[in-house]
Amino acid sequence: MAQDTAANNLRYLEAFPKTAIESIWVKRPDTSEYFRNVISFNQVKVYPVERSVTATELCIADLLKEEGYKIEEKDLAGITEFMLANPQLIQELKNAPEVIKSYFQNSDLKLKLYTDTEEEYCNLNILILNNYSVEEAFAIEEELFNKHFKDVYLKHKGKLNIREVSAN
Amino acid sequence: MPFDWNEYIKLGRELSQENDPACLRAGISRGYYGIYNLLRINVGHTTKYKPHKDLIEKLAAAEKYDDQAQLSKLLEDLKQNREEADYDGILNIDQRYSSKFWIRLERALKLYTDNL
Repeated sequence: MAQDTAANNLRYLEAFPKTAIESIWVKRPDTSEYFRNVISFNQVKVYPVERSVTATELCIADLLKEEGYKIEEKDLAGITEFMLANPQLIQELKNAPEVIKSYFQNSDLKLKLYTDTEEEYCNLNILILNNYSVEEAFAIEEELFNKHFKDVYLKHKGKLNIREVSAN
Repeated sequence: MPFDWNEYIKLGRELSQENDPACLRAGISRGYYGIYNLLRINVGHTTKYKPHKDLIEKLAAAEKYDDQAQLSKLLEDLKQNREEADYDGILNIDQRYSSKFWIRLERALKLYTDNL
């Protein structure tokens, strides 16, 4: 039945010329969900369900971006789910950029969810993108970990980690 | 006579000297399993269920090492590198990536040998 409805919707869509595709996030009326690539035609909007993201996801993404983290769009849903399951990490993520930047000047911070292929567990990595030499970068990371991040690592059982990586 | 896992690390080091992506990836893989097994045996760890993650967590609480938290973090980092080398065909595993792996492995090895 659902398949029939979807097929009908598709035929309906194909019958009209597309007038616009809104690539910004658009809130669907009467719901709390946001959608991308909303297709508008003849004053009717179609919200592609498979690309939906909840308002919560947007809030978390905005919060983390405001703190200076880069997040790849493909990682957004996974990071949001992880943060909802581990809200105690939010404060740590808010505190970390200032400390990290005092060690790694001119670095960028990127959040990356590590999903273990073999043992099915997840950690959130703060990747520190830098241009230091291999030796320098490791020495700085080691000092940063020992002086500031060790307690965070132990307190949260490794769920939040820092890892310096090459910027290029 | 049990196998000496240091031989895996030695083989990994040799492979890391080759300017060939397959050798760099294989070197990371051998190196990781070398240090993993040395630490696993040293901690007396035998579980077959999520053995890598379990060892990483056990190391964090292992008081026999001077710096158990750092050793735990290093093994986590090395494991992530090893999985990227073994499974991610898109990621560029070059000499720089390999060097970042090996500097961490040598540090973990030192923390291990200092506490034998």
